Amino acid sequence: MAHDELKKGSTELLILALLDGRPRHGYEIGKLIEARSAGRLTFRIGSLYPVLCRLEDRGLITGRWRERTGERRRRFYRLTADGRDVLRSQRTAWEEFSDAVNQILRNRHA
Amino acid sequence: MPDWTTYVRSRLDLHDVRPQHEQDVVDDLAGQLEEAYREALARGLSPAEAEAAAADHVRDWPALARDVANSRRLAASIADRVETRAWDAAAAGSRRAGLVAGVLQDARFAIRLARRSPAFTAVAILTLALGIGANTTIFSWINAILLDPLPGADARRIVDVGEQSKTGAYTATSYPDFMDIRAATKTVQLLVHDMTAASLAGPSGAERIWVEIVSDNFFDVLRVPLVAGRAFQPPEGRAPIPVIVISERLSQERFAGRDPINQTLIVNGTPFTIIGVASARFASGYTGLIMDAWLPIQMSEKVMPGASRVPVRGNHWLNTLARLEPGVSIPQAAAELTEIKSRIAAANDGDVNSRMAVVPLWRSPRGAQSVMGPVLLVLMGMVAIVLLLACTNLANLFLSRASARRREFALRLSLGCARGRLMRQLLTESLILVSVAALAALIAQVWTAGLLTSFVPPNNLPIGLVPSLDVRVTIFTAVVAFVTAVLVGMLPALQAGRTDLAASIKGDAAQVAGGRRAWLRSSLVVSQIAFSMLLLVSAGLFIRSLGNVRLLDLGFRTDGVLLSSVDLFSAGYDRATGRQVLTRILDEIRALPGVESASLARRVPLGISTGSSSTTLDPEGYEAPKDEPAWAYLNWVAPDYFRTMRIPVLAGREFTIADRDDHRELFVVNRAFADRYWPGQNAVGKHIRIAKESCEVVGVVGNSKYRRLNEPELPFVYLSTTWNYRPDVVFHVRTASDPRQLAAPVGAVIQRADPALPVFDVTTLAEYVQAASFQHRLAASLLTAFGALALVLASIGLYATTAYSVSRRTQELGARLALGATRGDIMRLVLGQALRLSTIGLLIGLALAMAATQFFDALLVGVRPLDPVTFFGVTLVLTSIAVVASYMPARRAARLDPLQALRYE
Repeated sequence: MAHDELKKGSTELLILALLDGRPRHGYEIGKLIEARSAGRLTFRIGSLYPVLCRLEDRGLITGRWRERTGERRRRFYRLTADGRDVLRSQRTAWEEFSDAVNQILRNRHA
Repeated sequence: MPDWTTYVRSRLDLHDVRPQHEQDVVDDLAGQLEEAYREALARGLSPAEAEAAAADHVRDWPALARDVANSRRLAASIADRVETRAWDAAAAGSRRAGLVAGVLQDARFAIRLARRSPAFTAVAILTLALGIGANTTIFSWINAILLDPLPGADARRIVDVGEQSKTGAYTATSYPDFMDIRAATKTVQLLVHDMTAASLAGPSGAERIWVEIVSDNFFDVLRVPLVAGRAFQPPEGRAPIPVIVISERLSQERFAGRDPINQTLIVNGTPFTIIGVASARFASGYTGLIMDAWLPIQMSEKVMPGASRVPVRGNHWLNTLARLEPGVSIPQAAAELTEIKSRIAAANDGDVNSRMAVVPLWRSPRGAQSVMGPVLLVLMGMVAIVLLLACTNLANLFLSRASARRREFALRLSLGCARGRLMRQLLTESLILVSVAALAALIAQVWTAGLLTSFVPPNNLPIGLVPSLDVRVTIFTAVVAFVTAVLVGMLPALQAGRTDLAASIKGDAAQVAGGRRAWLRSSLVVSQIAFSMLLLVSAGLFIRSLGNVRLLDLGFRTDGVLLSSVDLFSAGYDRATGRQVLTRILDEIRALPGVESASLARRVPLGISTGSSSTTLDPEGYEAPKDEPAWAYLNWVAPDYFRTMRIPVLAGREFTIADRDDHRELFVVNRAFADRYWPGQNAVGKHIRIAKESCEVVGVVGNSKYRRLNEPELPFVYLSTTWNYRPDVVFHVRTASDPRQLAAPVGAVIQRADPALPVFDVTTLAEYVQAASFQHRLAASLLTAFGALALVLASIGLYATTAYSVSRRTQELGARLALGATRGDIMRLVLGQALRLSTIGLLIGLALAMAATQFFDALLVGVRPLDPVTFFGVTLVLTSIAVVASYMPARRAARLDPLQALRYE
């Protein structure tokens, strides 16, 4: 897929954005990306999970086990204070970057 | 449904990931796959299709394992990860913005770290706040009494001057002597003062106020700022001029808003013109006492009973303070003053052998300094030890955490982080904890400051000891906090600096935990127990001493006696009318129902306000050594005094009502007087000459305590009020029931005799004499509190260290169990090690306590500094605490499952 390279670069930002506001568990994150991009972006567990590990490792998100009787325990991830900072600056950077890219692309068509 | 956990485990090879993380990774992945599977089923796929869809989520298992391991292999815990990041960021920060930014980064991450382990943080802050708070409180008391004894004045070069006789006894100064010395001295500016209660006329009746009688240079020498008007001037020191300086409080009360200068106040019936108002910050020339007004000494006749003492050179009644001139030392001043004093004494037939003693105010032999100073210094030493204990506990906690973080440290060091950088961060961490604790301590000081006055017993003095949170206390707290932070943070920081890289990264627990670190922990525990021993022994001694104080034979019975004071002088009575009204009141009190006996006396023994009135005298037939004239303390008492006080009459009789008809004056002496001046003789019938009059002794009574509980037995002469009129007296009323119930009837009797005569200081004898045990109660209560705190800290320390060492040695203990050691063996091994440490601590503590308690000797009553009961008791208590604290981890060690223990990392 042509998306692959772009997707790789933006996975972290997507995860951080989805965790902004509420904690979610791993599979839910993948499903949400798929739903919100109307199926244009899909992630497999196998490719999303290492990114979660890496983000947690860098202290941008933190995972906590939630147990409910009769159910398998599920790990919920939420944003840390650092994560929120990074998300804010990356969001701005991304908007500036995509604006710039769009502008160039449009100019070429013009 | 497939077992997704098994599915993941069989495919994911996580040998690079730590076991506890491995389980997390497997569970998380299995959970996600299971969800994908359920969702596929929900979409209508068959179980086999759903399983395939879920399995498709991970195509390359080895790649996933590698990715996971790369992100997790090095991270041991959440704290580690944050720390590593902290360091990365901080390192970057310090490269950019230098030291300041680096330290700020350190602080930010220290705060984040603290918030991540709230329990650890709370315990640490609480421990430190208690330790620092105790120090701040005691220091603020010391500050109020010893360091800033005269707030509002410039007391830095003020010294206490006293005349000291050859026997070492301090006496006051006479006004003529003062004027002569003041004129001659070049080393100091001398001032004298005294104080008394007086009656101030007001719109709604008379008010009792306290006035300080001062030399004309009083405000100038002390450099007390006046908020209005002027201070006294030299003419007011030479002749009686009715001028008065009042306190800002009195000024506001009487002249709210109006200018008080040149207004008139009626004190004891005499009109005084107000010439000045002293700053509210200034209380008086007496530490801890608050005066309402100041009068020139030349006017003292108007406010103090008796003939004027001002012109009499032989009457030593004034206390002396002095300001050292610039560049003059205390010995220089003392030498010069002594020289001037002997010259004056030689010219006036005085005591040429006495010398002038000059001491800094904090060592003043009079007043709050002398009462509180020694106790406060002992307490200061003790709170310092409490803080040291808190420090060792915290250092221990930090050490435990530091060893949990050793991989993080090692990793950073191997990545090129300077050791100093790592130490700086650890110090920042402890500094932040300590700062919060110090802030809490300063806030708490507002409440604990008032605690001091709550220990002051009932008395008739205008006490106003309110230690304030001034610059000195704040600086002290800051310094203590900084030293604490360094003590707490230094050990782990030094350890971090020494981290053995290879061993740490390999996670070789035994190698890292052993050796130096174990030794450090052990010495921390040993010192904790030693310090606790010292504190508990001190507390024990003071508790025993307090117990002895309660049982001490005072020579009189304190129960069942009501005290009520009147001052006829300030109420305008003269000798004839005063005598009349006192007789009438006493007769009526004796007739009250429930009254066993009643009397009056000038002084009540053992109060903090008890003045010392001693005199030289001439006992019949006693040959006084050349330099040591006979002397005794005096009290003025009415008939029935000894019966009312239950002081036994050993020979002869006491004063009786029938004495009123006798025209010869009579004395009663105590046994110490008789034994000292007439050993082996019958004192009854002998004569004593005081001043010019010689009177017969009619009775000998038992000794009693007069000023202090541990004073030697003092010779005493009782004068009878039948012949010696005293206007300032205290009624003593004995009853078989609760003396407080007599307060109202006795007050009513006095009111009936003269409705305008105020009754004050109504209390019981039992309450009044508590003043004497004031120091003991203060020391015993506070030391007990500190001792308890020390005990808790030490037991936590011992428990934590034993528990930690058990967890470190789990593998070893497992091996022992596996090789056939019984559970009893393991228990003995662990307990034995803990008890060996505590025994060393106990022995060191014993030696420390033996050395330290020698300093308390003067403060103890009926107990020696090496009291075996206290030492044995404390040893027993500490040993049992040590056994209990190490028993719990020892039991856990004994219950280990050998297999699990061997696998334990």
